[in-house]
Amino acid sequence: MNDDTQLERYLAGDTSLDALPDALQSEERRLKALVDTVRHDEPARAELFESVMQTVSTSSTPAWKRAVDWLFNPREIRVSPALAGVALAVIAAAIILVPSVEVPTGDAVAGTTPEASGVVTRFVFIAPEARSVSLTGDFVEWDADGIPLQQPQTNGVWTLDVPLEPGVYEYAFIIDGQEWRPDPLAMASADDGFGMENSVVIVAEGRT
Amino acid sequence: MTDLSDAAIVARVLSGQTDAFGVLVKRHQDSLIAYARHMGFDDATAHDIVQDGFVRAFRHLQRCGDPDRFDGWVFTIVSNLCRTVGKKRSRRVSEDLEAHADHLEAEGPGPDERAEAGIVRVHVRRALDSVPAEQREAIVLMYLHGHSVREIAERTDSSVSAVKMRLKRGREALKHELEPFMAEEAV
Repeated sequence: MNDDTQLERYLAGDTSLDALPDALQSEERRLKALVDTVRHDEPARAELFESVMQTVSTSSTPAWKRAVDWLFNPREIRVSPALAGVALAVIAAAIILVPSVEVPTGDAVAGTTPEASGVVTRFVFIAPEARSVSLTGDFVEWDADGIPLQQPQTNGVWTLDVPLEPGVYEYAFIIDGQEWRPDPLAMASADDGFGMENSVVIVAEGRT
Repeated sequence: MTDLSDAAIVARVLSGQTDAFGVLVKRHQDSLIAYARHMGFDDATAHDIVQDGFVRAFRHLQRCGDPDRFDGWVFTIVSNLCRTVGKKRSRRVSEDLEAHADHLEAEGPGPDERAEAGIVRVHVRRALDSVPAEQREAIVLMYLHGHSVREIAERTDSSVSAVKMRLKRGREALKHELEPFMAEEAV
């Protein structure tokens, strides 16, 4: 067995250092000693732990979700009977006294509502077997719950319209609350840094 | 909680116990910092990379397919970040090492053993830096972290044969770069 083969067997862990020929053994010990001079055994600094935990504690609930929770979670509001009476009187007066207001329709309304301030972008995912499909991405800080897509009636096509400001976004779908999948219909993809791919959507001005 | 497995802690974090993530950080931070340093990053950058890696791991914890292998998964994240940051910084790191080596060499070999050891260390770092990233990673994981070929293959999402080849080529390149120091009395 030549030196190359023996070295390969050693590197693969199939044989020990002591089993190598003397010259090769000496060379390997020397190389290991040299590489060992750059060994760093100092532990991580305490600030690392503190920074990570501070970041994760503030990012565990995204701001948009906190806002949604604040809007939709029922809460108890205490109002004195006197204040409630005044409020009811003001509302009644407004209905009776204020002349009818012409309400703009169609695009005029849509263009002024905060929800429609972005470009409405449709996300589609075909999954006839799925029990739920959610959308997550950098526009929701990769929230693990995601935004639920609308459940299909028959054809397994899940859809969701999201208003997004013009820009480039990465996203993925979460199937049944667990499995993350890229969008097979995406216009582009990007390495997600975890050995998988994110889908990419480019939202242009005026796209609906 | 510190005696729980990684998988059990991951489950707690996913159920909303954010603080439990701290156990995973404390458990794995030292080896990840050491890895980032060994890949040629200075201390501050190594900490930035590992911090970013842990935050990404937390935000994407549901993507950790096998919570029992959380360590391998977070390593992959940090390893990918090292590559991304390394691409941006490789030229500057090389320039810094050149400057450092020139400075130490200008001092010349003297009776001060620490200075000599410093010269060797700079040359080893420079030699490692000159080895292609994938080969360097395999060398670092085997020589400095004591991982087997199979473990390296798992951690780097590569085949065993690819790791063997990287080790062999990386070792050859390193030996060539360090030829002047291969004699026993050089350190």
